[in-house]
Order: sequence, then structure tokens, then C-alpha cells
Amino acid sequence: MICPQCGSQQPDGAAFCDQCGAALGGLAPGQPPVPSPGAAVPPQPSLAGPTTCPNCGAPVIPGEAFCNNCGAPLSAGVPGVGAQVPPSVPAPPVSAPPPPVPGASAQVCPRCGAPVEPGSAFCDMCGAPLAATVPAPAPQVPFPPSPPVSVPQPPPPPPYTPYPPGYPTAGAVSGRLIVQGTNAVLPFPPGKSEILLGREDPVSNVFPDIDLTPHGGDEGGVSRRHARIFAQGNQLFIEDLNSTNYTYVNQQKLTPGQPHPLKDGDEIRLGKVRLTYMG
Amino acid sequence: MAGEVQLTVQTNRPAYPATGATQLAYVLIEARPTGAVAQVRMPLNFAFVLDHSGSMSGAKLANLKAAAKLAIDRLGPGDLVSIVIFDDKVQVLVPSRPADNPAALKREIDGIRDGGGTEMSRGMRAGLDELRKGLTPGRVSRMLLLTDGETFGDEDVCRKLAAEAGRSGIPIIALGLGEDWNEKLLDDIADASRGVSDFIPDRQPQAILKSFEEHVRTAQATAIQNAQFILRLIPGVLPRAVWRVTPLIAKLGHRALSDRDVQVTLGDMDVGQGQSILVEVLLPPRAPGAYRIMQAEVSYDIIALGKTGEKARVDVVLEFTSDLTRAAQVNPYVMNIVEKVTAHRLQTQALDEAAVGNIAGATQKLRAAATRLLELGEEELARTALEEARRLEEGKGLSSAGTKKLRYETRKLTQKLEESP
Repeated sequence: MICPQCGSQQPDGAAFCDQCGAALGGLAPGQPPVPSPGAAVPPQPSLAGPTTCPNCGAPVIPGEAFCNNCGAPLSAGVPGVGAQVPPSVPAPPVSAPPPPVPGASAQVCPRCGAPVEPGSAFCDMCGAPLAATVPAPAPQVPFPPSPPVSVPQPPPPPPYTPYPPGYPTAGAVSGRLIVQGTNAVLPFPPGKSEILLGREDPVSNVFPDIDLTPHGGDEGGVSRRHARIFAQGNQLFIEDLNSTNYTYVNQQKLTPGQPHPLKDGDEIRLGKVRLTYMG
Repeated sequence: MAGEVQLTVQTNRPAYPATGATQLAYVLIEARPTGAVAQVRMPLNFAFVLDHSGSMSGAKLANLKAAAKLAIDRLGPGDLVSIVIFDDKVQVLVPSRPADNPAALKREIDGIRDGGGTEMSRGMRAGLDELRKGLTPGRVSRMLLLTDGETFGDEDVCRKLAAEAGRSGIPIIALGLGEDWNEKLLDDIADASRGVSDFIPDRQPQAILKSFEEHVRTAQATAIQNAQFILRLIPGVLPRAVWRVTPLIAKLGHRALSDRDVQVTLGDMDVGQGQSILVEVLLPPRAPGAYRIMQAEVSYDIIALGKTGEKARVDVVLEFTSDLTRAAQVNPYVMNIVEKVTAHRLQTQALDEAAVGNIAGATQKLRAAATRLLELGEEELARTALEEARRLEEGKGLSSAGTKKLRYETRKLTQKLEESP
């Protein structure tokens, strides 16, 4: 049969589509039917909650219960928060196309118009800074700002778990990174079981193994503790350490805290800084 | 057949708004042992590795002896026990033997005297040697390691031994007494061996008695071993974080097996409470309707019943709705757990930020943690968080006692779940 939601081919009798998860043919027990009038609602990201924290202004994901930065409660049902949804909103207008288009609301890149995920600090497509969600990297300041003063507050370093359970780390990691554009070669320091990529900040006592400050790290949105590379068995992994502007491997955005296999020739992007890994 | 573990799923909302944007959902998956394993009791292979260095003199040592004797009383003739004491030397007080003569074991404990410095790796190594003598799949092996001070110069050896213990299937219960020990080291030992670490306040004789008894009891209730979750996600659904929420709150490492399968290791489960995990997932946009976004499968062994590789599975089905009233509802039970995890996470971040010198960030997060703790009714912990924030602002730095209390007590926030409806 064909999944009515995403159009993929599904085996007859399947209760759920294995591609989009939609309930198929009313076989799912106890599931309410799809409400028919009006089909889909127009995209309204605010329904699931705010995209910035009302308390500290940090970007948050709709649906998040508490702000990741200041801990403020974000959604209804949490003590101290009023209902986010007006009680008597009329039924939404009809005739929106069934699968809502991601980012069809205001969440588009002002430079190239590509849809962006709420909370992104840079556009996924063109890399432009998204000023609405993040303070632009201090354009008015003629010199690099000295860290302790009141630059628009950089997000604090993420909690750093060197060896999460289930990750037996192995021997030394070897290899080098090539900076795209300048072709600068950044060899890994020998004998280390883990390579920290980031931006050196003596004030915060952060000294990464690979410091990207001289390679456009500051203006490119590299976090102080941005990502780490480590080995498990013979396989290398890269893990985003909850960086502000994300880590990408071959244009694929990594989930923070979730290691991703790394192989020879992979392109790594930290914020806007592009590197190639060579074993 | 399977059926020894039952999985239940709850989500933070009964229905999610059908928006055009990515949103976050909280999925609570509880793995509870059923009646089929309630009576399973595995024999233990238990080692006490106890610090009797000079700093333990007086009431501390007396309390330690009382606690060890109480723990001995919980053991039966089918259990193996060994007792190792260390300062900067090591002595195997009781080599591995059946716990069939409690009086004789207690006499040995009474004979412990204080003296010397602290070199923990010696104690750990001797304890491991004793445990290896009784290491069989049919026994639950545990090392209870107690120290009250910093070990000197052998921290890396301790970490290596802990990793060795983990590979041998011997979780280490790493207990710090008082305020002068290195919580980073004990946490590392617990993590590397898949055990637990905890803080026993000084000058509270009951605390150490309760702790020892509790850890022996938990070991005895362990029936389900090598438990792990496989989460099978549909394309576009991303796990942001996986937390264990009972028995103790901890961020679990999750490993991508493929683009769509994620593995989460749980380890041992006791027959009482089981384990629960909270999965934070990023949901792709969906039109209204019901969607199975994930299948959760737990696999486990019950050696006592001769079962390995048993499995239980559950579907995580979310409803997306255009009904705004319905989408505004929340599940208070799940939200309470999310709030506890948040309080724990905020204090962890605060301590991490203080450690790298970000005083402003650390104080802000400590105050935020205090707010959450107050909302949860944890007034004493909230006071501790505020006191530590004040110390940071006054340039005094974090106190060792306050840090340890926050670090270890916020892990236990979900242990009070039973009291709430």
C-alpha cells in the first residue's frame, strides 16, 4: 500500500508507515482518526511554545519545557507560566496543503531565503548569521572584544562529559585537519586519546588541542569547546559538544552530544569554518 | 518467553501541535520488572574495600565498622564476601569466602585500627583479586569502596583498575565520606565500572549505616543484567539527549548504531523499581494524525532463570493535532520528571562553569537551579544552591560540602516519586 502522508511504499497490513510514522489504514489501536475539517493547520511554530526564552532571550526549541540557558519554564503546565495558547481561538482556516512546509513562516534566512531551524545561529545553506536569533558577532567593535566585558553574552560552555558510559575510549587519535581556503595543516598533537576542537580562551581556562582562532574561528562562530574527535576501536568519531553554531560533517548537521563516525576526507564544518580531515 | 520486563511510555503532552516547525518532545519510557522476576534472588560476590587511613580515626572509623557489620548481617551463607582494608598499604582482612559465619566476620571488622596515608589503588587491586575468585555469571559482583580522603599519586591507576572492573562485570560502588575526597575521581571510577558514586555526610552516623545497607540490598535485588535500549527512530526524528531518571538521574551516553537506531546502555536492573529513561526528541513537522515516531526495545539477561537476550518492545505513538486546547495540555507526571532533570542539569552546568572560571554563568545557573528546586519543594537543596551562588559572587569559591551535596543529592530527586500521586 501507499502511505497517504508521505507517499512511500509500505507492506500491506502495516500499522504504521516506517518512513514518516503515520498510522495506516486505521489499524493502530486506540488512535483517534485524523480530524477531517480543514486538514492541516497553517504552520504556526509558536503553538508549541516560544522560540526565544522570555526570561533571558536565548534561543529555545518550540516544545522545550525549560530554557537551556537560564532554566526558566517555557511551556504551559509548568508552575509559574500562564497558558501560551489563547483559550478561544477559532478553527484555523482551511485548505492548507497536508504536509506543512517546514519554515514557511518567518523562519527563513534573510540572505538566501532558505528555511532555517528555529534557534540556528547561522543559515544552513549560505552560512549567513541569523541576526534575529543570535547577536551578530560584534560588528561595531573595531578590535576583538576582550572576554570579560559585556559583549552580548556568549552562550556558556556546554557541560562536558569526557567519557560518557558506553564509550570505552581507545588509543591515541592521529591525523590532521586541513583548513579549506588557506590549506593550513593542523596536525593532531601526538599521543592524545581525544582531540578537542575549539577556540582558545585563557580567561575561561579553555585550551583546545586544535585552536581555530588563527583560522577564522572567532568570526566563524567556533565555540570554545566546539567538538571532540576520539577513537573507539579502529573507528574515529566526532562529537559536537553542544556548540552554539553546530558541527557539520559532509553538510550533515550533528546532534550535539551524539558521536558521528569520521573517515578520511570528510569535510568538517564548525560554525562557518570548513576543514577536511586527513588520516 | 519474555515478559519479565514491561515497558510503558508516557509523553509530556497528550497531543502535539501540528506546526510547520521542528519541536521538542519529552518521552518517558519506564522499564519495570514484572512479578515473574520478583522472587529472583541472585547470590552475591561482594567485596568491601575500606579506607582505614589516619584521617578515619575516632568516630568515623567506629561508624564505618558499625556500617560494615550491619551490611554483613544482610548477607546469607550463599553469598561470597571479602574484606580489604587500605591506607598506604593494603591488607586482605577476609579473603573471599562464604558469608556463613557472621560472628567471625564481625570480629575481623572490630579489629580494624586506623593508620597511614591513603593509596586507594592498592585496596582496589586487592579487592578485585578477591572478587575474581568468585566471578561467575550466576553471581552479582560488587565492590563497595569507601574513602574519606584524596588518594596520593595513584589516581590514574585507580581509573585503570575501575575500567578493568567494568570489563570484568564488577560495578564499583564508590562512596566518599565527609568532605575531603575527590568527587571527580569517584565519579570516574563509578562511570568506568558502570557502578555508582555517592556522598556520605560526615558526623551523621546513621548516614553510613543506611548507605551500606542500601547498597547491599540493591545488589541483592539485581536480577536483570546487561539491559540496554535500542531506540528505532523514523527519519527526521533526532534524539537530543537521553537521561536515566530512575533510580538515579544521569545523562546516558547514546550511541548511533545507524542513521536511525540509537543504543542506550542501562546495565543492571533491580527487581523493585527497574529503570526509566527520558528521551528528548526533536520532532519534524507533521500534519494532524497519529505517528509512530519510535520503537523502543529493551534487551536483557536473567542469568538466574537461564535467560539471555530476552526482549520487550513498545511503540511510541504521538498524536499531532490542530486542536489548540488539546495541544496545550500536559502530562504533569512527565513534566515533574522533566523539571527534576532540569534542576539536576542546571546544577551540573553551574559546577562545570565554575570549574572553568565562568563565575557569572555559574551563579546564574545556580540561582535558576534553586528556583526549580524550590518549585519542587526541595527547600534545603535550594538553600544550598543559593548559598553556593552567594559564595561565588563574594569571590570565596564553591564550598566542598555544598558542591558534593548538590552534585549527589540532585541525582536522587526522582527517588521521591513514589510519594507523589
